[in-house]
Amino acid sequence: MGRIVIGVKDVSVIPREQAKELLKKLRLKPWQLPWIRASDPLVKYAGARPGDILKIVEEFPTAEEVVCYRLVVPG
Amino acid sequence: MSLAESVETVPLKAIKSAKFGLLSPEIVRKYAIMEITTSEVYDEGGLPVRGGITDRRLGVAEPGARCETCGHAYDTCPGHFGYIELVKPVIHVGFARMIYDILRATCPNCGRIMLRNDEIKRYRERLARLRQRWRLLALNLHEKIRKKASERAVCPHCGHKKNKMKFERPYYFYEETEGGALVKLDPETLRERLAKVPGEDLELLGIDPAVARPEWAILRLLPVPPPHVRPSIQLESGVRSEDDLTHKLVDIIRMNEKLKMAIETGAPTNVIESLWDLLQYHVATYFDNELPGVPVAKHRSGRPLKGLAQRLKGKEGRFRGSLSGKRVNFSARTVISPDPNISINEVGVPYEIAKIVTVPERVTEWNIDFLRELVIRGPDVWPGANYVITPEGRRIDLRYVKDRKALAERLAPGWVVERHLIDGDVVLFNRQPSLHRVSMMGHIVKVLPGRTFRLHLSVCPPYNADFDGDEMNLHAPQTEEARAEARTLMLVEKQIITPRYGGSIIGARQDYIIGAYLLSHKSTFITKRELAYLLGAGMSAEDPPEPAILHPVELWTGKQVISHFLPRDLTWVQPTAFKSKCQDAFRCDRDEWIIVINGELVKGVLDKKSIGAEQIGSLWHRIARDYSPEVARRWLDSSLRVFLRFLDLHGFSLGMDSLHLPREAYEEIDRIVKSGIEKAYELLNDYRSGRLEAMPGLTVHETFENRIAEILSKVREEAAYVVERYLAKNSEGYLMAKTGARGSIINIVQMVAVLGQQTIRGERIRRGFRTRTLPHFPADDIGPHAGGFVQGAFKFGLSPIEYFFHAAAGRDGLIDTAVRTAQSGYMQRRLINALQDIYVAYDGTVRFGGTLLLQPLYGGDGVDVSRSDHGKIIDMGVLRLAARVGT
Repeated sequence: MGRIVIGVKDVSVIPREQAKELLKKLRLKPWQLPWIRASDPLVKYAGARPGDILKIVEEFPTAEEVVCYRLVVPG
Repeated sequence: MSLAESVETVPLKAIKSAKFGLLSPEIVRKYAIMEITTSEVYDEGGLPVRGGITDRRLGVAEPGARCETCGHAYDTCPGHFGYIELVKPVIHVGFARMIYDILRATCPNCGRIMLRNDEIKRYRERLARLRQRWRLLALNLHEKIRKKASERAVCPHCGHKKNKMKFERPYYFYEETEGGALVKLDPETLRERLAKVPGEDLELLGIDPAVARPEWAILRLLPVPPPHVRPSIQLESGVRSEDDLTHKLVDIIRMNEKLKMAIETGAPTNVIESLWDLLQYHVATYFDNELPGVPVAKHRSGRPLKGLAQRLKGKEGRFRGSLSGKRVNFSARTVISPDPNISINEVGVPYEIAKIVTVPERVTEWNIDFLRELVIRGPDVWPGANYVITPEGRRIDLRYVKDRKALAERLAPGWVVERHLIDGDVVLFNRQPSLHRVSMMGHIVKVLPGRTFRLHLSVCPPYNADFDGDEMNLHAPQTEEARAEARTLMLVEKQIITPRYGGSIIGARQDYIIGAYLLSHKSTFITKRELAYLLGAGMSAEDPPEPAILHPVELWTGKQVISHFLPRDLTWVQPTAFKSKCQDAFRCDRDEWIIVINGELVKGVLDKKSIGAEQIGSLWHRIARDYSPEVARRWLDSSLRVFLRFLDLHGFSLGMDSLHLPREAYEEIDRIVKSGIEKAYELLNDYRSGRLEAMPGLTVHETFENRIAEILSKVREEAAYVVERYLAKNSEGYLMAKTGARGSIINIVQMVAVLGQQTIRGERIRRGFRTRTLPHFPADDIGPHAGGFVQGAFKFGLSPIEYFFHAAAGRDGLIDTAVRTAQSGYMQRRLINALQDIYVAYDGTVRFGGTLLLQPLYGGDGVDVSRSDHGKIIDMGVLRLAARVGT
């Protein structure tokens, strides 16, 4: 569990309070976010559980750092 | 009933949701007005038989008759359903899969779902939770529950040991007994089993028992649609022709009667079985006549009958053909042809079309005189008008108005005149396939003599149009709002920059490029007469520049003419296609770099790299990006016209002498070809004697093929090098290839040196006869010549064998393009269908259909590519250049 997948710079679980704020800002219900399976190595790396929201920072050749939010779903 | 009336009388309701379910037998009976009891359709007198499929109680679909149920005529009778009572139940093919899924997940004995009570409780709680907030996940869970229940073999509720089920498409079910024998389950048994499943268990499987009990998918009662759905047509000969559905329904009723007879007379079971199966077949093909594994039901003529599914499915089906695809008025279609003299914004419209396609114009104080004139001119003279609409909404057809002058006098503000298309109107212009947004753009009308639409050559690439018989469509927007949108958003000049990668899709091509090159060439000098002609062609409104040479005659340079049309504050430096020795633009004494300072072209020749379409970081790209669309369009319009007129004056043609090579060149080419072929034969020897070693991952033969292809392509490469070296630098062929106007050095090599290797499906030619490609070669000859290497060139002709290989490769290319377009077209359709609901919201996020979030910020950086420089906000190079030149 040491290394992160290539292209992904950072993964972290967003604390409940912040997640709520984020969802309010984007006017979304949790399930409307992109999903990520709990069996995904990234989720295990971040130590997230189903229902958590992950903040994933990726590296792109065109747009340096790209932030993406994903909802952890069972599976 | 007019539209306005109907809107007022029909009570409005907002649809909150839609739910799909199955028709229960009770509902079928309740909806129906009668039972269909006989297969007879008409009696001897040609009148509908009572209780038959054309019974007047079902409604009437032809004029004259009255419905016996509601008493209305054909246009107001809504039609009434009937039903057929089937003697034995049959499976609804559309739900066979669902039936199978349910049967596998439930116990055949007690009907309960094959899950323990604790599991049921757990899943039910989870479902209730999910359904509230995570609707999509609930669907996932149903699938999981189904799988889990299907895996269990012993029922936890009654202890019954379940046999394995087998489903055979389209509608056969079998049960595997302990002995391994397959026992067929008839629909009656299936129905009994499905009826046993309790509603709560169905909910776990994702079925709402209130609207869709699974046993309803096994049909006892078949609804019969009214004749409005299946109208019969009276042919001229007086013969009646029935709809496909009517035919199919008659088949079903007949089969039903036969089955009934067989049962009543106590026929043997196998007879009943086979009749039952036939009934099942007819009902199945009534729903869908394209079922896999089922013979297609045919009309007497051999034409396949159209089932219900066929009415909805596919391109001509209800959805794609009737609902999404509509035919429109105020449109025109004809062949297109080129006109280099109109603007890229314009479209040439024939008088004949301009007189039919109209635009509604509201009468105001300011245009009343103009519109009166048009009304007086009438529908037959352009520009005129076809209709006048009074403030009460009455439409007056000017064709039948005797005194148009009097009508014109009555015209007052508030009236609407539908006048002919005139110059300056905005219309939408489109060519299929409409693959991207620039397949439909706004154009300004220019009414012209002739019978074709005329368009500027530079707008061919976005439409992917040429003039070998292409036709295009034109639509005249009918509201002020639509016209305003067409003008501000869709006009060609607003579409020069594509949002795909920020480059221009419109630009100079072919003749324009070679014309621009010749005009910008150092040796080009222009007399006063010619200058006046060129500036006139460019519609210049400014004073001509001072001549570059004053004595003995006044002469201007071509660069002066080009500079005359450039924006005054433009500064730009870029290499040309001729760049070879010079590295520094400002220390180059040849025309290898383009330098524009304050709108003055001081150095460099124009070519595809600087004014061509789809060239990022070019002179034209700069103009299109840094100035308003209108300025860019005006520059393109006038400059292209100038380039073309100059090319007319200069003259340009490719002949045999454009492809002349000196003797030494041919000697060199011969040497290259010979040594290449020698090397190929050496390789062949190695291969034959087994000395050739296989490359990693390849067989020896594959290695050989790779190597020989490499050797022979090298021949062409080296020949290209020689040709480029010896070909006159001012020959037309060389100029076209170098400037990018048309063709490349490869094409010249193929004309003057060697045509090279011919391929079929990307491989050397190998098929033909049993052991060889042609009978002119020895058996098993796989050398360069037998493999399709053409040593000849077009200028000197090909040998018959070479000619044959060339023709074969050419045909392969044609087939390849045909297949590729079909495949990529379908791929495109599927992609667009899948992605059509994605949009960038006002907060910069990318969302799908208003529900799902795809990206928190468009593209990760929120940059609109069409308004960026190479995806960046600014291009530092441009700023640095401006600083150096000091503008």
